[in-house]
Amino acid sequence: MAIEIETLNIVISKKRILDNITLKIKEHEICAIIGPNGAGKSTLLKSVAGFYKTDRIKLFGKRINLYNRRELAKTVSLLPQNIAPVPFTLKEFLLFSRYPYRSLLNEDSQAVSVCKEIMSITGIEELENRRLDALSGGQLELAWLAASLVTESKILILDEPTNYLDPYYTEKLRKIVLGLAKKKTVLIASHNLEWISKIATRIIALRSGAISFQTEKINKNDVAPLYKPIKLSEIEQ
Amino acid sequence: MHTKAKSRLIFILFFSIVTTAVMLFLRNYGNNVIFYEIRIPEILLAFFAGAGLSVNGAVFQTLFRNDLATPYILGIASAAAFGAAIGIQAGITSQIFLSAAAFIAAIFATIAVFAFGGISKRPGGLLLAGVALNFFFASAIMLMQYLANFTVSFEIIRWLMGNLSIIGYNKVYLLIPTVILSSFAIFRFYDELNLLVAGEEFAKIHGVNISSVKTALFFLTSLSTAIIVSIVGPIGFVGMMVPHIIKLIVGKDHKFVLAGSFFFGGFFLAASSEIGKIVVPPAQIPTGIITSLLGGPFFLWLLIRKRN
Repeated sequence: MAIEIETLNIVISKKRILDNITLKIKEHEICAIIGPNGAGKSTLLKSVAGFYKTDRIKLFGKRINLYNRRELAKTVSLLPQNIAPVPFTLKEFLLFSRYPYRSLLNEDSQAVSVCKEIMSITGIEELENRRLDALSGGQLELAWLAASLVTESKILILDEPTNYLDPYYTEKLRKIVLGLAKKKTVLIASHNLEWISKIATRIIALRSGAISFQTEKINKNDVAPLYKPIKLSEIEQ
Repeated sequence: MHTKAKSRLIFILFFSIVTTAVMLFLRNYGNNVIFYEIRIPEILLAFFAGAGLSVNGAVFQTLFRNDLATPYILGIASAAAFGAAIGIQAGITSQIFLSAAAFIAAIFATIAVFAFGGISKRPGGLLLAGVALNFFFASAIMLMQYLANFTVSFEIIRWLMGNLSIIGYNKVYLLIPTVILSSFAIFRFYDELNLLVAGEEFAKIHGVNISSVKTALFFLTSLSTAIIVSIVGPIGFVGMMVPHIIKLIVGKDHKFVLAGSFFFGGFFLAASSEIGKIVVPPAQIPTGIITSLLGGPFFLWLLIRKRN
């Protein structure tokens, strides 16, 4: 089992963001998390990426709190929702992102070859010497995706990856993710239901921090109530 | 890209060291005592103070993701100035004790910024705590000047303008090891600083232990700034200008930015100090005035450049 979550509760500033989440995700699954804004999708993704102290999550059978930061970075990577146009060339950015593989005593001999391979997988080899702050939105998203991939983690988490993409890059990203799923377990949060239905092997619906339902195919009748306005009383529970 | 940055960095090192060495031989008047007891210590003092301030500035610009951030915004310089002002007011004439007073106040400010900034638990809490302390200490100095007699008031003002004129090596012996050791320790974090450019979230995902890296960097920069300010006075703008100039030349990889800032910062402050001495002889314009005169227009240029 790649990810095991058992009765996970996350409370931030006295507000319960995740409510008793229990979930198992097998290796090579593409698992989509859907739900309205504020449902707890990003918090769930960040929990799996190790942002909160908890022992309720196991990655490949090992409790997440027992991983050190570098080990965790080699196990799980997250493409965040907000990506910045940093002032580095793509090559520099990817080499920096190999951080978990080098230390004062260890040089990372694989760095250049892995970065080249990832650039070819994501189809951005020609951008190698371009600075990220000179790229288009779609290219920037792929550059950040590549930075998530150079850690060679077995779990890849994508938070709203299609937000800033035009149809061309949305389709390109779909193909890349499908290819990646042969070697990785993928967890995606998205509002793009059409895109999700083309890619996900399982869909988990969140509402008010709890799992509302799980399905393999998106059904309009199931989804419609999910996005109904949330009542204040529902959140406060 | 990297070879280009590397060769540019080597040029900066060469340029900074050679020009600083040339400055050493100016204004000696063929006198050995002046050369060994005044020229060498004052150039060393200016070089290492500038080097330390510039490295610290480069670190702060990345940690706060703000082009204008330097340790000065954390109120450490004002606190050190306040400490020295108290010393002057209390009639302390020994430079060593005056430095100690400034140093104690600076360390107190660092701890206070950490304590209040940490308690607030909000993004930018540290920055806000620093700004608040800065205002507090600046006002306290003004109050002290207002209450002091004319001579003491003038002494305080003179110290606040930054003072790189020294005789002998006492201060140099304290400054050089501090700046070299702290800058070397900071340099070991270049990898983490590169990841922090893309944001704390990104660095954390890629395996950086954010809280321990930030604590170590704040401690090192605060300590080094406190000692520099306690010796040469609050010389502003060096820490802001130098890293910017270096980034324009060698790019944004911190391996090159930190090394370049160290050497060019050293040259920059030594040159500012020399300019202050030769502009209106025999008077010496305090170095802090020279750097601020350069810093103001630079600040505005940065604003316009960003807009374009």
